[in-house]
Amino acid sequence: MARLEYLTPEGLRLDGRRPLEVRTIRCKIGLFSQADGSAYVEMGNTKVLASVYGPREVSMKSRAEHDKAILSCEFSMATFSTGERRRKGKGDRRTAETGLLIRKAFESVILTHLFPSSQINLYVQVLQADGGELCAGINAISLAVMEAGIPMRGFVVACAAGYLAGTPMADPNYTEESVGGADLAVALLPKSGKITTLHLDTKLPVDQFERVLHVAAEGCRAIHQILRNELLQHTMSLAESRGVSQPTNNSIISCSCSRWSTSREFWPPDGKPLRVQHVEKED
Amino acid sequence: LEEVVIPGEIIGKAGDFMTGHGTYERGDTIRASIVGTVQKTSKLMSVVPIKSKYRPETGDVIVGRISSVESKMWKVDIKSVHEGRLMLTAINLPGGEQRRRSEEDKLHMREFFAERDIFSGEVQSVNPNDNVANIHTRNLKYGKLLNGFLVSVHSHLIRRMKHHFIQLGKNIRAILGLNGYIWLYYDPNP
Repeated sequence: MARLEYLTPEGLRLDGRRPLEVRTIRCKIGLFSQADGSAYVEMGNTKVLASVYGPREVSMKSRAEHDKAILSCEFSMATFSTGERRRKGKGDRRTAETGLLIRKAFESVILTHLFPSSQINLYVQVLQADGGELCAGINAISLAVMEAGIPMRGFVVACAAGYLAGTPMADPNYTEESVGGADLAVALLPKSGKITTLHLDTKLPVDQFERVLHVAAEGCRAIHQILRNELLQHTMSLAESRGVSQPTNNSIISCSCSRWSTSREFWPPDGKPLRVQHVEKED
Repeated sequence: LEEVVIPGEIIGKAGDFMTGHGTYERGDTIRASIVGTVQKTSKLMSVVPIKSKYRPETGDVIVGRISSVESKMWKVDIKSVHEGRLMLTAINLPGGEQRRRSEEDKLHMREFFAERDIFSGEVQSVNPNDNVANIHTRNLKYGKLLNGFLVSVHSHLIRRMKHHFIQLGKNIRAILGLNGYIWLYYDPNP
């Protein structure tokens, strides 16, 4: 039986990606009319759905905070999302932990002090799990919170990096994750680079930590470009239908007629990222 | 030309402008906190949201749904962050009576408005601390709504107008609540 080559001598991973390449990202914003904000994100074969309700009245008055909104996140996986049918979609420790991490990722970013005595509920549902569900969930919630019009300090983007065959690898899929090597998930604000949540599975040699963190952070920035474009496109079409005139900022890479925006950030083997050609308002 | 911004984008320098709705200050820059279009009015920088919950203002005509009956007031669902408050003293008693509300009235509140009743009213005031709207129906045109249809739309789609009670056809009337609830009904006597 042939052993799986996580990194071939040519420098290709199991699915043909380069070590620093993230998976194809697709997203859709504003799916449900009943939720205040909703989004759907695909990272490779991982598909997640996010919906946001709030700010609204606190259901349990005892939990209300007089000076800010309370945040709660529920992460659940559909029974058909994994290879083997899942018995329990939520309520187990793993999903509780993931829900907590997603909440932590947004607690410092959402301006909760603007909504005293209210609550904001975040819901993530995984439809297909192929690795990186936490990161896909955070990305989807980011889009959903923005769609809901809830004020935030910035765009939270998440990406994971694994450490296999002595190389940091961006955005591992399920097979790469299940090897048992280190898996570092990072959620950050891409412009400032400030990290809102960081989660490391298993162990990583201390001297490799910076490298792996850097790969995850660069993966976040690549994902940010794609999600940002889709958000701007969605917003501009909404603004146009409301009769607001066209914006002046020229930061759209491509305008596609299809309702999906797909693109891939590809990095050449020397490890330096390909700089994208739009003008970004910098710090 | 209006500029579309997303949270975190820099829209101005802290010294030049005051931060309005939808913006926040960080260091010496003003940044957007919501998705929307930038609005600069003399010294105030704000971002008009593309989508947000209804924010009540004094004088708004609204259509609301009673969500609960409390002591001396009703809590009303008006599709905003907090539920609106309709005080017992802020309604018109049937028969047009003008008197002080008694303890007896407190016990018969459900005879005026029960849970899930729909009514039209006006925002009397908005509590500045928590943006809770105080609603009143102290006008003959406001009150409980019966025999009609409630339609829910985005509050952005309803502009502030002179008249929110409009006629759509010979017998069809509508009440356009600024909070996004529209009440359509048939008026047999136009």
